Amino acid sequence: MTRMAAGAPHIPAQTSVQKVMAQVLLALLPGILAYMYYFGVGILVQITLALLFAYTFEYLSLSARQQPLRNYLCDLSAAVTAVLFALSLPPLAPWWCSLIGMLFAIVIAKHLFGGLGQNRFNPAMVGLAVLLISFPRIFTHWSPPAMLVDNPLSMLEVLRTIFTTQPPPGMSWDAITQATPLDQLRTGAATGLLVTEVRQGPVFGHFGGLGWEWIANWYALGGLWLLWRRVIHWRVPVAVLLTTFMLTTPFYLFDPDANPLPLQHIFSGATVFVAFFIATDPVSGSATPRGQLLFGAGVAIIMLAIRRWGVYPDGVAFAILVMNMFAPLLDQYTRPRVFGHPR
Amino acid sequence: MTQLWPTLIILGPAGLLIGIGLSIAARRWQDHSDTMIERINKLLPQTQCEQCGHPGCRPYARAIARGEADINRCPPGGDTTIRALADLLGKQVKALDSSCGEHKAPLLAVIDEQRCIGCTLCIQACPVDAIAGAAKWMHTVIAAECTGCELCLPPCPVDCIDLVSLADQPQRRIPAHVQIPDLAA
Amino acid sequence: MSGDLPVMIHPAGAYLHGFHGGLKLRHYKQISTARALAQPPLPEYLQLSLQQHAGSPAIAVVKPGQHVTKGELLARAGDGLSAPVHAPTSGTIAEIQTLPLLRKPARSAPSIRLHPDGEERWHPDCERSIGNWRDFTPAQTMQRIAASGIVGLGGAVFPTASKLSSQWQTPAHTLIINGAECEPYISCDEMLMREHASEVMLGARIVAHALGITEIVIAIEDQLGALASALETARSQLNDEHILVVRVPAVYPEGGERQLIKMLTGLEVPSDGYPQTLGLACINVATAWAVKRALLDREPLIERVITVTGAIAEPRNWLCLLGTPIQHLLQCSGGLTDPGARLVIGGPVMGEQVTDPALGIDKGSNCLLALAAEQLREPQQSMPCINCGECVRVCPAMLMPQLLYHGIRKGDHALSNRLQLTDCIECGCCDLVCPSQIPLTDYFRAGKQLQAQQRQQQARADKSALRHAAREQRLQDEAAQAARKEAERQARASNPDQAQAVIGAALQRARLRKQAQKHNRNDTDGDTS
Repeated sequence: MTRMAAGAPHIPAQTSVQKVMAQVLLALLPGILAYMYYFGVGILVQITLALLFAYTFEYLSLSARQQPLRNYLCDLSAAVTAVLFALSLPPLAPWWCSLIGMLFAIVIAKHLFGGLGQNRFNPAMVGLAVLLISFPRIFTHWSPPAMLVDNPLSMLEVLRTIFTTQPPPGMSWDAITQATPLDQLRTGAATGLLVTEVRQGPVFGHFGGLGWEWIANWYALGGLWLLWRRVIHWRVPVAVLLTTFMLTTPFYLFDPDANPLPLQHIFSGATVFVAFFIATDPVSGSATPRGQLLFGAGVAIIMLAIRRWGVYPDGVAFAILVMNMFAPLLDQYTRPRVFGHPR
Repeated sequence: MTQLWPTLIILGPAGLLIGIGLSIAARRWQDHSDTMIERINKLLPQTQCEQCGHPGCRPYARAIARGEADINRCPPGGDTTIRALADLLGKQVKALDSSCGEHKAPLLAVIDEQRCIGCTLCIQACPVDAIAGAAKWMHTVIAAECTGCELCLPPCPVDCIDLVSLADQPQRRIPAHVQIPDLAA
Repeated sequence: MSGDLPVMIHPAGAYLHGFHGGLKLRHYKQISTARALAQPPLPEYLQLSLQQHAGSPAIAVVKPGQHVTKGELLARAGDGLSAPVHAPTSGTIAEIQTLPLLRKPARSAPSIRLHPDGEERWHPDCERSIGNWRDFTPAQTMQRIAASGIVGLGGAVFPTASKLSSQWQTPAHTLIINGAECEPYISCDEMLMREHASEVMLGARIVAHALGITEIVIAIEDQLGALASALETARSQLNDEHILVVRVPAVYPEGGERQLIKMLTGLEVPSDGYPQTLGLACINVATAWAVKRALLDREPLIERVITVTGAIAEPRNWLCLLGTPIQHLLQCSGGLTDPGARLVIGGPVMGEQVTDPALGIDKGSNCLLALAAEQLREPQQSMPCINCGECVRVCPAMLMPQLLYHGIRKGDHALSNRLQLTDCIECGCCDLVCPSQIPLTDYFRAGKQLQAQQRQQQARADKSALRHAAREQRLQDEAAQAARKEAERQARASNPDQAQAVIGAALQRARLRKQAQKHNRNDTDGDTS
C-alpha cells in the first residue's frame, strides 16, 4: 500500500485551464469568420502575427522565470490573449502593432505581475491601451465593410499593406480604409451634424453599422455557447448589455437628434465582444456574484462615458482597465454571506 | 528648460523639508506606549526563556517597542512570530537570529525523580512557577504549566531534568504537496 | 447565538427549498445494488478500535485471553462525549494494542483483536426482555441508546444519545431521517431501506416518541423511485400519517445535515448551532435502524451495512460485523479487478485512503471503494488559480475558496479567520470544479489544523503570561516585605536608646501583668479560705 499521495477528493476535476481556454477560442470562431467575411482577410494576418509574438514572448518570459514550459505553454491562455487583442486591431494595422501589443500584454501585464492568474489587468486590453495612447492614428484606418467595396484587396495586397505599413501602390489610405461608424458619429457630433444626418451615411446598417452588427451577432452566438457550456456566467454579459441599454435609452428618448439609438451602442464598436469575451476574463475580474454584476455595469458606464465625452470613439479598453483596478475591492465588499451566519 | 528651474527650486526644497519633518515626527511620536508593548507582548510565545537576552517576554516587547531590539530574536516563536511582529510594526520579515538559538518544537521539562535531590534551585529558576516541591523533597514539573524554556536546566546540580517534545497528535495527514509557511515547522 | 432564530413557516418537506452550490455527480450506485444485501462469512479475527466515535476513546473492560459472548460490553464509554464498544460475536480477546484509526490515520487509539469461536452465542443481557419501548421514559430510551453504543452511522459518528439529549433552544417538532446519501458509489442506506423499510420507520418512531415529536420526514434521493414506493408501502402498513417520505433532488452534498435541513425547511442551521437550535432532530436511516434493534431486539450496535464497490469483482452491500478486516471484505467480494486501485473508506469525494487493510471497519464505515488507477487525480499537476469563481459558485457553505486558498498559502491566518475557514465542511466540491486542479480541500484541512494548533498555542501563551506575571508579583511582594523588615531592623540598630526604651516598656508591662496576676490569685485564695 502506497503512502497517501493526496486527501479527498480522490477523483479529478473534469475541467482544466486548457479546456476553458480552448472553449473560449472555439467560441470566437464564428465571430472571426464573420469578421473575415465583412472586412477581408486582414484580420487573419493580425491573429497569426499576434499568436506568433505572444508565444515568442510567453516562451521567453517563462524561460526567464524558470517556470515549467510544458504546462504553461499548453494552457492556451496566451492564445486567448493574442486572439482577443488581434480582434481589437484594425485589419490593416502595421505588423509592429502586434509586436508592441504582445510585448506589453504578455511580458509586462502578465509575467511581470507573476504570470498566469496573477495579472491584475486584462493583458489584451493593456496591449491595446498602449497602442491606443501611443498610435491613435492607426485606429482611424479601419477597412470598410465588404458590401461597400467594389474590388476588395487580395491576400497579397493585404500582406504588403501590413508589412510595409503603406497602402498598396496606386492607392491611398482613404481609398482602402474608412472611419468606423462610432468614429463617424464622433466627428459628426464635433462638426455639428445631427445623429440622424450622420446615420444617412452608407456604413450604418440597420442599427449598429454595416457588417459590425452582424459580427456582433456572431460574437453573441459564441458567447451564448460559452454560457451554455458554463465557461462564463450570465452576470457579466447581462450587466454590460443591460447597463448600456438602460443608460443610453433616456438620452435617446430625450434628444434623438443628438444621441444614437441604444441598439447602435450595443451593436457597434466592441460592446458585445467585450460583454462576452473581455469583461468575462476571470483573472482580472470579480469572482463574487454581486461583484460580477457591478463589474459589468462599471465597464458599460465607463465605456459610454468615453464614447460620449472622451476623445476616443470606443473606450472599452480603458473601461476594462479601470474596472480591473476595482476588482479586488469588489471582491472584498461583495463577499457572500457564509452559510449559517446572520445577514 | 527655463521653465524647469522654478519647479525644481520650489518642489525640491519643499520635498526635502517635508521629508525631514516626517522623519522627525516619526521619531518624536514613535509609539512606545504601554498599549504598543502589550500588543507586541501578545504576539510573543510567552515561554519566558530569555533566549532573546531580555529577562522575559514583556521586557523584550518593551525593547522592541522602543526600537532597542530587533524582531528576530525569539527562537521559540520562530518564523511565525517574526512574521506577526513584522506585520504589526510594518517592518521587513527577516530570518531568525541564530545567535539567540534555533527554533524547536514545543518542549516539556520532566524531572527524573530518582535522581532529584530536592535542592529547590530549579523551583527558583522557573519563570512560571511550574515546578512543585520543597527542600529535601522530590520535585516535579506541572506539565500543563511548563513552557519548555530550559531555564531550569543550568541550575540543577545533578542534571536530573530532561526535555521531551510536546508535539500534539495531528488530527489529519497533510499531503506533501500542500505547502504552507508554518506547517513545515 | 442570536435571540431571533428563524422560524419554519411550512412543515418540513412540504416544499423543497434548495441550497446554494453543490454538484450533480454521476452516481455509479447501480454497480453495488444489483446483488442483494448479505452477510459475509466470519473472518479470522475482528479488529475493534476503541475510537469509533466522536469524543474520547472507550475504555476496555476486558483482558487478553478472556472469553466474551456476542453483544457483551468490551469497552465502556470514556469521559465526556464517548460511546461503548460491544463484542460483535463470541470469541476470545487476543490482544489490545494501539493502532491507527481507519478513517483518521494520523491518529491512533487502543484496539481490541477478537478471535471468533464461531458459536455466535449471545450474551444473556441481549436475550432478557426489557419491556415495551412505549412505556419507556425519554431518559430511559436515551440511556438505552447510549448503552447500545449507537452513534451517527452516516459517517459523523457523533454519539446519538448525546446529540438528541443536548440543549433544545426550540421545542423539538420534527424528526428528519436522512436517507440522502449523495456521494457517488455509496448505496448502503438505499439497500438498508429496501430491505428493512418498516424497521427503519419503527426506529424513527421510537426516537420521535422519546423526543415528544409527531412529525417524521424521511428524505431520499429523487432518482430512487422504486425505493420511494417501498417506503410508501411500509408507511401504509404502519398506518402512520405523520411519516412523510420526501424525494429530494440528488445534488451533492445533500446528505450533509445542514444542506438537507435547508432543502427541507428553507432554514439554515446557525454556524455556531445545531439542528436542535431550530427544533429539528436529524439522524441517518442506519442510525434509526440501530435504534430499533437496540430497543426492540435488545441488540447493541455490532454490525452495519457497508457498500463494497468500484474496481471490485463482485461489488455489493454487506451486512457486516464491526471490526471485520478490510482485506476479508475484499476477499469476500472477489478481490480487486485493478491491482493498482486505491482503496478508500467512504466515498470518492470525502473518503479517506486506507493505509492498512488489516484494520477493521468501524461504526462510520459506510463504503469501501476501490478506485481504479485511471480514475484517480494527480494533485501534482495543479496550475495557478485563475480566479474563475467556479468554487464560489459551488461552495455549499457559501465561502470564497479561492481567497481562502491564497490566505492559507501565504500563512495569513487572520484572513482565513475572516473568511470563516471553520465553516468549510470539506465536501470537496471546489476541488471538483477547479480548472487549475488545485487540491483546495487539502489546503483547507491543513489550514484548519494550523488554526487549531495556533489557538492551542495562544491559550498556552496566555496562561504562561498570567503565571509569569503572578510570579513577578510574588517576587516583588516578597522583596518588598524583606526590605521592610530589614528597614525596621536597621532602624532599631541605629537608635539604641529608643530600642532600650522599647525593651524597658515591654519589661514594665510584663512586670505589671505579673503583679496583677499575683494580686488576683491572693484574692481568690482569700475567698476560698
